[in-house]
Amino acid sequence: MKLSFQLAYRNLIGAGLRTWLNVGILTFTFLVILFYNGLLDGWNQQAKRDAINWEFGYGQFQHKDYDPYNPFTLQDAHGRFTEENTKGLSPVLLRQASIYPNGRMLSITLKGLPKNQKILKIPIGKLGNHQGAIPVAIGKRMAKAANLSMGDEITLRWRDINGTFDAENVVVAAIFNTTISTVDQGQIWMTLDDLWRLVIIKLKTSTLD
Amino acid sequence: MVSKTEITESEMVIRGKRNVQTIGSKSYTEGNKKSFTEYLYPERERGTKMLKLEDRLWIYSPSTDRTIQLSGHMLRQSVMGSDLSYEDMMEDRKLSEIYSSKILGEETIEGRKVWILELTASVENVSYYKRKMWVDQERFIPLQEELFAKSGQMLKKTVMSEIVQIDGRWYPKKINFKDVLKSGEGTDFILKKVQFNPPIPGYIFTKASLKK
Repeated sequence: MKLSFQLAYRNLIGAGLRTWLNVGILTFTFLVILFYNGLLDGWNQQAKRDAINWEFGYGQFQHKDYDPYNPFTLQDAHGRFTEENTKGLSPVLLRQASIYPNGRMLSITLKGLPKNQKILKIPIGKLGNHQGAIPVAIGKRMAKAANLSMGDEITLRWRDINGTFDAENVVVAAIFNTTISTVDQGQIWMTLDDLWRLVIIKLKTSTLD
Repeated sequence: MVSKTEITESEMVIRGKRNVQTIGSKSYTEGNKKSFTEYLYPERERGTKMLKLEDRLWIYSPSTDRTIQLSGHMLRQSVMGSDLSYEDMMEDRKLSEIYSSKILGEETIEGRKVWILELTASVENVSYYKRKMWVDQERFIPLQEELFAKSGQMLKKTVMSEIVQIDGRWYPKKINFKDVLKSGEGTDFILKKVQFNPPIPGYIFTKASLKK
């Protein structure tokens, strides 16, 4: 055993500059590997944290008919909940609608979240009262795609629970910046009370965070 | 205007921001619950087929050789970029069954005396809560229509023109559909040929006929 170490030492010293070149390159390679592993792990951690903060909370109950990957299910996937059974949970209602920014039609998902919720970072609490138009929050990607900025008013068209078209103006009252595109692209957030009023679905939601 | 079966050849003139596109199609209709449409031109749309059976709609695209059923948000998309949405084509009940009407007054449109009718939904599950129609007093054919949301906001406007008599029926050869929330001049639907009550084989209204 001792002989092995002696031989190794002699070989390393005997190789001179070549040894130090190997040591240098290996050190640099390991540093790069460690850096990238750290970077990727950091990205993953950040993505997990952001998904918790912006999308899932610390878990989500979904309506039995709701499939996030199947928009066909959105029409009927909403259910009644009692406030005492859902203490500490925050309901989210999803409906489909269209907006007309600058005379173009865009299909969007309308999402309703209670104004006083603290689970998700969506700035629903910042939506104040606006006369004549419903205040909504959108993400920066959505704002860019629809060419919208703070204070812009757009026509929103949706179907109520009976399938009847209705239309009203909404005003962009908050634009949020998030890394989670699934709460941003093609989506408009408003208070749950406003969405209930629009679609006449009282105390019904698609998911509970 | 209404017949048991109908075969029509028509053109849809879609005015986009940059260009005007003309799409030709041939449609087979039985009652108001079954219809089958095949797009004939331009080359890009040729072979695309659409089948509507009651409240379900399928589209076959030859480029992907796939049939998809449209539902939910996909039904709200416009048909080939026009001012018509797929869901506009889905309403198949008689207006008298779902609306109560009253006459608001009389008017003259292009020399024709018309009644102005206001239709208000009498059942809950209708697409448009209110409609305003200008109906020819002699020919009993609508010349103009406006569709309203529950809030009173006008959503769509339809103008029928070039009214001709075909096999004893008055029929508009040109219909302009305009989504008033969208910019542009709307979409023209131009009737080229129509046959009333021709025999249509049953297989036409099956999913199998989409891939033929």
